[in-house]
Amino acid sequence: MYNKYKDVIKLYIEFLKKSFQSQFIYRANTLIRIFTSFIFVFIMANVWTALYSTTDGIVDGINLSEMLTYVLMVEVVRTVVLLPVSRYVAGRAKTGIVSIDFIRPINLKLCAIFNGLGENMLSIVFFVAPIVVIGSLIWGFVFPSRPFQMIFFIIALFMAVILYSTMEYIMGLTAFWTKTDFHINWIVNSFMTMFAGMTVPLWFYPKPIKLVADVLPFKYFIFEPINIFLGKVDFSGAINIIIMQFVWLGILLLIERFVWHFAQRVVTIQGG
Amino acid sequence: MEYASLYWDFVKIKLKSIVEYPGAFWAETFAKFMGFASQFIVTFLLVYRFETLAGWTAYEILLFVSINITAYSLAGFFMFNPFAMLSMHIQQGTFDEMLTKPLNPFFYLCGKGFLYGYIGNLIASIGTMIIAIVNLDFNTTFYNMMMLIVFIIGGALIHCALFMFFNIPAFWIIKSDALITLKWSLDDFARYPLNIYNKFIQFFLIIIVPISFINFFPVAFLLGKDNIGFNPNLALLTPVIGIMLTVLGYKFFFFAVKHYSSTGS
Repeated sequence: MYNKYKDVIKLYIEFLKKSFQSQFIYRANTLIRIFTSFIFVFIMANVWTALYSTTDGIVDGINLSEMLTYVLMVEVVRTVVLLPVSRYVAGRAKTGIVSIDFIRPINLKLCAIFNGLGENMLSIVFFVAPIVVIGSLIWGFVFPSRPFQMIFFIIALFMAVILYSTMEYIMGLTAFWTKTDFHINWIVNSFMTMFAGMTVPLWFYPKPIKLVADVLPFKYFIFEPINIFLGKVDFSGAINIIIMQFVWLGILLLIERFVWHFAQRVVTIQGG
Repeated sequence: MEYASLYWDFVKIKLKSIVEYPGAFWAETFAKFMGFASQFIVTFLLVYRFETLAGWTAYEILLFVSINITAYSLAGFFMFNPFAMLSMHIQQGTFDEMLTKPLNPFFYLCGKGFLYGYIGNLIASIGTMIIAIVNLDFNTTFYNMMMLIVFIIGGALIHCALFMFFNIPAFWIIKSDALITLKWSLDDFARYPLNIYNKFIQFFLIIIVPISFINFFPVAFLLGKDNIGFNPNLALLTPVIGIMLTVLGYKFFFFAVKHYSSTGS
């Protein structure tokens, strides 16, 4: 029994390695990607500095150096969390390769996740790490002051990966009907833009819009983990966030089951 | 004139595909609308909480970003597909086919590549522009509206030129992905006003890659802003720069074609 699980894990790690390697081939683009990501962070740092210059230094309990750390942390968290799972699934649905996945003794969702992890781990090492190092040299970096912030941040980040890839997987499955994940991707991304806190943290949202963000799952992908990291929620607040992540995971898994059930039918009708 | 009616024929063919696949068309329009509308909303919220971004209010920033996206979308209709796909055409050798047509190859490339997929962007950006104008102290006189249209067309021409200048090097380097990625970065700069950047970057965005003429100076001119450290009358250069750069881009294209040797595939 133990050996069986070991083999399964080995198999998925192989997926991760393969995708890591295939990304690594495009070394020429690496430098340019570091540069463009850095430009993005640089622009946002300019924007926040300009915004804070007209205030007395603290807005809604956040000062400029915490805000700049937030900008850098968004780069880290989005690279870890935003796995391109839907692209993988939709690509296989479109070309029909997915028919092989049905008879393979491996799990399509896990393949997609580990494939994405391979890509994103490379991004962390080669793109994000240099930017965070350079960024913190220029703008400083506010480290978590209490140990629970770091521990709960890591738990929340891990949960965010699972949550987000489940959502992406559901999006990918819709390609069984539409043959493309393009439209659903843009629409879900627009919700991410508004409610995940990628550009503007939810601290600064007006009340009504904050309320909408609070009842949607998107803030648990990006904003809440960083919120914990920066210590803007207390111990019980952090636990609350992680509980809510589990609740959302339950809801998403139910939706996934439902969609998967119908997706299989559509594929059967089409004959693969 | 002959070319105009021929271009319209190309466009008609593309528009017919909307009738054929209405579902896909509306899905794409809605998806793009949501994508851009959400960006506008977030930019608004960003400035709204802090009241001002380097002397610009939230609605002024809305006008600022919506003019840029309107100009970009107008350019995108005609230029995105031809030039974003140029590197692929060259790699696969399909560009050689265009040289054999009894037509101006630039014209053929553009006609073939007309893209209707920017309607969603346009609805979002023009809608945002109207919201901004209604909420601003903006005199909707005939003169002001004419200037707004002139600026948008000038900005669209600058975007056209950017599409050309960043993609035409594909004739020499074949894979120009890196250059295109750099172009996206430049577009990021245009999302926020010029006066939040340092002198070096301001110089770069005025002289080297003049994207500040797309929206920064025009909006300053239209709103009569004198608290931004630049003379708003510089906006009058926008149409001139747009036309000049587009003509240069056109010349650059033929220069590249002249020195082009096929990949042989």
